[in-house]
Order: sequence, then C-alpha cells, then structure tokens
Amino acid sequence: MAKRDYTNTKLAITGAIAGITMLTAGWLAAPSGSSTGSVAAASSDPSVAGSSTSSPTATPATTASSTKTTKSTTSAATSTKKSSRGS
Amino acid sequence: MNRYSSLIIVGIVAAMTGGLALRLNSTGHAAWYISRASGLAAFALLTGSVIFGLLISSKAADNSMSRLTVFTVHQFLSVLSLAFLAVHAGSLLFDGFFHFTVFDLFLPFAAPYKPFMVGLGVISAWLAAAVTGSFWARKYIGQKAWRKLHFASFGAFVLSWFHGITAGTDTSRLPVTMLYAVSMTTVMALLAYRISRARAKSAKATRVGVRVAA
Repeated sequence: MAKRDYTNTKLAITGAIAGITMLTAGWLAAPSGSSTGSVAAASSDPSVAGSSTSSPTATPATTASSTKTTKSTTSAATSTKKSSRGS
Repeated sequence: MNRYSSLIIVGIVAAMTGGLALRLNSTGHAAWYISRASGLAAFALLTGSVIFGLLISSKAADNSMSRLTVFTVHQFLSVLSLAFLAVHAGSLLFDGFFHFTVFDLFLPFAAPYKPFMVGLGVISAWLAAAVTGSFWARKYIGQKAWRKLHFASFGAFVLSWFHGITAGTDTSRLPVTMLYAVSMTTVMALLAYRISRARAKSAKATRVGVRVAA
C-alpha cells in the first residue's frame, strides 16, 4: 500500500501555528488594560508608555539605557528590567 | 487538503505575520514578544507530541485513529516544537534589553536573565532535540536504546513546564495559566493510564505463566 503524503497538511498546520503564534505575540504586546480602558494599566506597558505618558522614565528606551548603565548583573537590575518590560 | 488550500493558508499567515511584525516593531520589543509567543507555542507543541506519544504507547487511540497517523502526528509535532524552540531562543539574540549570546542559548545556567530557570529550559531543549533526533537514529541505536531515550521526553516536558512557569513572564495571564494546567493534567492522566495498562498486562502475563506452569 502506498504511503499517504501528508506534506500539504503539515504545511497548513505549520502555517496555522505560525499565525496563532504571531497573534499571540500581538496579544502579549497589546496594553494589558486596553479591554477595560485603564490608563494606569496601559501606561505601565512599555509598548504604550512612550506615546501616552508624560513621564520620560516610563519609556522603554530610557529605562533600558538607564538600567544598562547601572549594575546590569545584579538581581535589583534584573527586577528593574522585568518591571520596565511590563512583563 | 490540496496544494491550493495549503498555499492560501500560508499566504494568509505570511500577510498576518508581516502586519503583526510591523505592529510589534513599532513597540521596539518585537524580538521579546516573538520569543514569548514562540516559547508558548513550542511548549504547546511539545505537550501535543508527548500526548500523541502516550496515545501510541497506551494504545488509547487505537479505536479512533490508525497507528501510522498517530505516529506521524507525534513525529511531526516533535519536529515543529523544535522549530518553534529555535525561534524562541533565536529571537532572544535580537532583543535589545537582555543581551543573550549564542553561548547563553546553548549552555545551561549561563543566561543573563534568571540563569537557573532559563537553564532548565536549555536542558529541556537539549533533551527534546535528542529525543526528536532519535527518530532518525533508531535503526543505528536499536529499538531498546531508542525506547530508553524516549523516556527523556518526559524530562523535557516537565523541565519546560517548570521553565515556562518560573521564567516566563506570562504565567499570571489566564489563558497561559490554563495552558500549563491543562497540559500537565492531560499528560499525567495519560501517563497514569499508560502505567495502569502496563501493570494490568504484566499481571495478566504472570497469571497465564502460572497457569501454563501448573
């Protein structure tokens, strides 16, 4: 019996999962408070902080560079990085 | 599924990917988001692979699917999981926040972020790669060694689960929490079924042996 060729099915599944992954990435990048319209939650997310808040320290670039100039290997620096990424 | 529908799906995904990449790039953290999303995808695919592997060994799907189909899905999910794992780790190289090097990606406990928890992920990746690679090395290493090596997939699954929960930054999100909860529950339930089936089989073999001897 000839072995069935699953190439197209595999291609379609790969594409579908890649699409879902990209949608997930978009969902992760979206402001966490967007569904409720919370400005406070949205401003804590690095993806929106730069455009919506007046505080320059909230922008990811500034926070990142300031973190880099300090002790980047300490746990304190790590936690700073984490919080500024908006997780 | 014919070639045209596959191409349409790939086309849609390419368009979505392009659009989302542009959107993510505007945040300045595209690599970071892609790494997180592909990590979740890799974990889900690894879970799927383990589940299909357990369906083969426990024969739980024998009534609904052919063994060849189950095996093909199992093997395919393993390979796809590795591909997404490569994206998960590789995209960290382009992250402007944490400066991962190639060395950090391949060597456990060398990462600049949560070294121990990320190290578990690195070990899990190595185990997953070894198990997946063994599909093609089976005829060289023999059936017994292949089966033994396959047990490492449980190690890969558990370590990646711990890695995801402890090093991942999305564990508190409900869909992600659900993913971790459902994946572990399903694998453990199937594993329990597999063990109980194996015990029942060995008990039956013992009874038959006793009867024959008598």
